[in-house]
Amino acid sequence: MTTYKISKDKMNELLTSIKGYDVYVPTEMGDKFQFRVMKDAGDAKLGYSQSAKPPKDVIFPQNEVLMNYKIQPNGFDVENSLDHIGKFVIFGIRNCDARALKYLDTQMLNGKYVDPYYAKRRENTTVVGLACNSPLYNCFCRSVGAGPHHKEGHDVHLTELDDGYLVEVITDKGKELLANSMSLLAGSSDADTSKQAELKQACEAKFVRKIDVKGNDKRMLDIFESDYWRDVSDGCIGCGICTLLCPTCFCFDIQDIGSRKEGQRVRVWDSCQYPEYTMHASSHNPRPGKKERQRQRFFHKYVYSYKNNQMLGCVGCGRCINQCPTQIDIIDVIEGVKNVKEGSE
Amino acid sequence: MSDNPYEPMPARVIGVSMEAGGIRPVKKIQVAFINEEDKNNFKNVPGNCAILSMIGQGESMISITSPPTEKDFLEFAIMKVGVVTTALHELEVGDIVGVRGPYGNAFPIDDWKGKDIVIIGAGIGMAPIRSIYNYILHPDNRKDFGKVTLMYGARTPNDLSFKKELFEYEDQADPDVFLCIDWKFGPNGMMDEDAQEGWPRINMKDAGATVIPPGQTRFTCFVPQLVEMIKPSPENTIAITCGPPIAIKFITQNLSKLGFDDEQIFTTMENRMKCGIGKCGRCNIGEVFVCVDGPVFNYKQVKELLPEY
Ligand SMILES: Cc1cc2nc3c(=O)[nH]c(=O)nc-3n(C[C@H](O)[C@H](O)[C@H](O)COP(=O)(O)OP(=O)(O)OC[C@H]3O[C@@H](n4cnc5c(N)ncnc54)[C@H](O)[C@@H]3O)c2cc1C
Ligand code: SF4
Ligand code: SF4
Ligand code: FES
Repeated sequence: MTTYKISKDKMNELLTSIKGYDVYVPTEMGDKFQFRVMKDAGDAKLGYSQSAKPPKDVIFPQNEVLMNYKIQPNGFDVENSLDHIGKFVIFGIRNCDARALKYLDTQMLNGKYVDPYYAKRRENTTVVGLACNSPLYNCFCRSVGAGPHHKEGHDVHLTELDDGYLVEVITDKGKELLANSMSLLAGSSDADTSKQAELKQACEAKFVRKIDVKGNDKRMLDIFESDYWRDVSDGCIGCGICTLLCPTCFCFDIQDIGSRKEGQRVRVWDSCQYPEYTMHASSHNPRPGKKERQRQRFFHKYVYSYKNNQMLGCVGCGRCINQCPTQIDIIDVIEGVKNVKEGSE
Repeated sequence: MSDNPYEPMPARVIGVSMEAGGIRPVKKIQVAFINEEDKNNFKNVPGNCAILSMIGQGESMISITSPPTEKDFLEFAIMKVGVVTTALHELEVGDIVGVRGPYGNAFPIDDWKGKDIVIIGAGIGMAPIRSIYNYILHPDNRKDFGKVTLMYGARTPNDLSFKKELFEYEDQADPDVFLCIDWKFGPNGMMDEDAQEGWPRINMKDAGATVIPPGQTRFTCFVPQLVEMIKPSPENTIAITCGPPIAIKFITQNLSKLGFDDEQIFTTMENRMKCGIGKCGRCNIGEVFVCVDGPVFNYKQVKELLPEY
């Protein structure tokens, strides 16, 4: 890792010097922030708090044409969209959202099959992280194995200092990204590094909420059939926002658009909060109600993911809490498990 | 073959037969890969499924019902229940359909060598296990296994899938075949009418006490009672069962009563599926993805799953 510094007034120049990539930056949209492809370096709002939607859709788009195909007398003509995937930069991603990409890797790249679309986009994406100096009220990344200055999954890591940004180049991909911009970077001093440490500490001290995950998975399994899950999901209206906005959720549907002669196969985000998601053709549904569907969300994130990949499926971004129209709060739910009176002990 | 697991391989429909009628009819479709390379690369074992693609309509996970001993084609038995399966029912000989797979784990048939095999199917549930009996009964493999017993039931004789081959087996000395159809439901409830000719009823209250007339292979009863009456011995035996969840539940209970251990009983689990390759998320039971970790489980494993299926 090599550490540099760039002055604030040169940041736009650095952004403009990145060529050959679609550069996604946090931009302002009303009172929210949204990652969008940069048209002008001035669009980038690096002082943002959190984007309403995580930038995972750069790598796992909400709608993605997998292939176009036509029936021919002797088979199909398939035009695979894999051949047209470009190169991307996610510039200014927060630690939670970057860690979520590491989590998505466990799902999409591990196991018997590799998802080739995800793999290609992931390979073609360079991740520039931006340390968080001020958490939101519902942020709890520190409780789930990370922290506001965590660098996991970053190719380059930026920290905003008073007079510039500390630029840590972590991987070869990061090096390649900045190859044309080296003249904008200066050396960093010990004072900069100690300022970074100071900011980290100050930020950590600002966290309000936390989860204690130790032993929770076992406890949750003990009370799998408890009415607790009905009680905590009581208000849910099944809108799916908590999953659609979650940086680690990966569930998708595959749909065809077109006629019987030619068509398009599209992958679209789906949600375990919708009844059709699991409904069998016989109309039997293994998760018939919101109790079962919300329970699936909590268990997938806090039990199954850990069992399968030794990584929680929640990075503590707090979006599902901030955006749920009925105020279902994953921190309260997971913490509340400790107080449930039933289950085998 | 492309190394993209989502890309279907083209196959030609070479045979279509109606297997069962009613409101949810079942058709058997025989397909052959168009590209020699796809044919050679597609190595299925009993228990595997494939995803069939109907362009513009979508995809469905379907059990491969033909045994791997059939090298030149694959067979699928498809119940018409929705958009894709309706499109599959409209296929005619010569049409093209997409196939991807094979998917899922397999029945551990090699571990069963030297054992007696009891196969118990209900309704469309015969589809995933048909590949087992046709594999075992193939002349190349028959000597590796002991006695083979097939038990199968459906609502009416018309609803029995694969009846052509089952009726042929019924006439042979090997395997032992027992078939049943459901009680008839008249306006006043069950057993209002006489049983259908040739399908005598058995005592439903105490099926185990029923004496089977020699040579009788057809009955009017539910599959779990057929099992109770035929009383397969658990001694050095493997039982494989598949059907609607409620049928599996009672069949398994009756096998347990007969002395079968949970590890001697195999079944397949089905959940709604899309990707078939462990990515789309929807088929999980707890931490298990049925599409890759299943669909075959022994009953001990089934009991260890979280109760959400
Ligand atoms: C491992 C495995 C093996 C299988 N093997 C076989 C097999 O060998 N043979 C076989 O026939 N099937 C098999 N199936 C089942 C098969 O995959 C499904 O029946 C098939 O995918 C249904 O697809 P469809 O598009 O026809 O139905 P869909 O159009 O999805 O509809 C299914 C049913 O749901 C209803 N429905 C759909 N959407 C809604 C909605 N929004 N609200 C209310 N109702 C709705 C429809 O009316 C219909 O009754 C298997 C499944 C699995 C998982
Ligand atoms: S956001 Fe809230 S209301 Fe909507 S599905 Fe999630 S928990 Fe239910
Ligand atoms: S579960 Fe909620 S807090 Fe956790 S990563 Fe997803 S949206 Fe963020
Ligand atoms: S069908 Fe997609 S994960 Fe199993």
